[in-house]
Amino acid sequence: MSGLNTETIASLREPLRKGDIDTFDIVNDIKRAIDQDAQHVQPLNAYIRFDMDLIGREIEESKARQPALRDTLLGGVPIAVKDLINVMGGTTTCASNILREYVSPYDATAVQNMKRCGGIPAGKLNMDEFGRGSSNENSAFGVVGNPFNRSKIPGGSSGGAACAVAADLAIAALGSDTGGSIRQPASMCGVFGIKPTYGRVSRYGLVAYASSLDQIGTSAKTVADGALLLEAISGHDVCDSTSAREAVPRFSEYVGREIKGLRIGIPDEYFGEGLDEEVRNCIHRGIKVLEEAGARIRKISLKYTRYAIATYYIIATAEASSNLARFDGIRYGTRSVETDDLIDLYHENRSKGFGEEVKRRILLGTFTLSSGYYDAYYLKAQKARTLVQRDFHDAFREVDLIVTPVSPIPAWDIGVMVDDPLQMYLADVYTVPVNLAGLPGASVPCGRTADGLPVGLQLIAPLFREDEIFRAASVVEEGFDAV
Amino acid sequence: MKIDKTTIDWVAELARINLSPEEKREMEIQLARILDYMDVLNELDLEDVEPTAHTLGYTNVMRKDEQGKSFDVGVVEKLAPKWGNGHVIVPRIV
Repeated sequence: MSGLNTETIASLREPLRKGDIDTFDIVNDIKRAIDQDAQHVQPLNAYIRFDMDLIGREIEESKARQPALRDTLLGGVPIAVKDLINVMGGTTTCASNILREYVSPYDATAVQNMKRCGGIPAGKLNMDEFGRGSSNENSAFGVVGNPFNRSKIPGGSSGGAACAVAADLAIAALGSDTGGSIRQPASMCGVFGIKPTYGRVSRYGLVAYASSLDQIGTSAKTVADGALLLEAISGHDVCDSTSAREAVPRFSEYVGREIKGLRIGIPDEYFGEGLDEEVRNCIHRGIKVLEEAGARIRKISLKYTRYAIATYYIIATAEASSNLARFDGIRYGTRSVETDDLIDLYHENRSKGFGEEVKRRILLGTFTLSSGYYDAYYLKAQKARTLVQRDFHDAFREVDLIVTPVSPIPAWDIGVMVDDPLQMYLADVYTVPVNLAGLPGASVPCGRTADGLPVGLQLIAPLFREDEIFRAASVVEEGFDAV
Repeated sequence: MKIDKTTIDWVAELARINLSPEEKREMEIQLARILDYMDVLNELDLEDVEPTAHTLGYTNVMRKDEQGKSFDVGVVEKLAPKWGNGHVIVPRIV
């Protein structure tokens, strides 16, 4: 018999509410599944830590704090958290040696909100170090496997999140998305993943990678679960000056609504050279499902798409080099070496603490921000960003939603792209424009390749219109469930 | 953009990162390739385009000027790799 780990938030709420099951039962089943996976010759390695004592304490505290826990939105369901988001009392390693022993003294606002809605933080998920990577191969805690083929990458950087949800090692998860880090792994692992509008969820307590692009979102087994969890964590926060004062709709109420007359744009630029034929076919089938449900499909053009990768990597690495300047082994984190000189201390600890991809991005960002090159790179990229953003805003005058692939290719073999960072960056072509424009975007499963690898369809909406995404995503989900 | 060993040394110094001779050679090749790719932006006429720093366009977001909570010294002490006499200890600066 399959355990409670295979259930969803929606399916667990009722038995939890009735008292037929307890959060401990769910966590025990998850733990059993994780232990079982660890016995595999190629473990998925989705978690950095699944600390039963800590989770037990969270459950007891939640029950004590909320006598009506079972009547809350999430009803006591355990939710796994990417290890870049602070959960008080446990480690937040960011999959980096420099924070290997860092114990967070506070909860991120998203975690606090989730707890208030009855979600129990349970386990910290593996990822690319500091969120830098598209394959989950850049982790100080080892590579994560793809549940559909363990020799393939799960995508990144929230690879652990998508993997755990897909393999029933979690009910649902909180991740973060800077250039596709929730959507791309969701696509490759066949789960639903949404990055809401920039500002929808507070970034307080999310370790910063590229502050103008980072956003917390959800990975889930179903669109309905993604909506419930996003509803729980969203909202304005005084601790994050970039968080939005917009009202948060009941996202879950849009799941299952009809989409008759919804105008959907298909941008030519996202279906050109480099798109795998099988992925293309899956996306076309997804578009057909939407059309059959009454959506009006039309072609559109996003002509600045080809500039998005360069723009994104200049901005993201510049912001990252600045954000990561704080990690030096002085006030917190790992000080692995003692020196007589302060500057040497910075050098030694940062060099030992950061992995290769992180160093590469820090150097790239430091270069583009340095005196003499700022105008040629950073300023230019900020201007190009305006054009990418304008492209979307113009398109949304004609359509309500844009549909594209998430990744041009399905999950690739572990190891094949590690020596070619530019090649890996180029694979982010369909996801980074959404972050540059601050828009909400999601990946919903729309079939598999002949080899059985999942393919995700991307839905992009105007600012703060996640409701449209949930409507359309549930139609796609239903369309492919029925196949 | 021409990246050479001197540029890598200079950037690594700015970023406070040590690189082995091998890492330097590798970074030189990889960063040069990546920056060459970035030159695609030179195709754009950006003369009259305003830069975007933030997608929602918020400026000067203030909160109330009130004293908030902060961590107790004990919490900070636990986080610090080296601590003594109520202070974080670092190598001699002056």
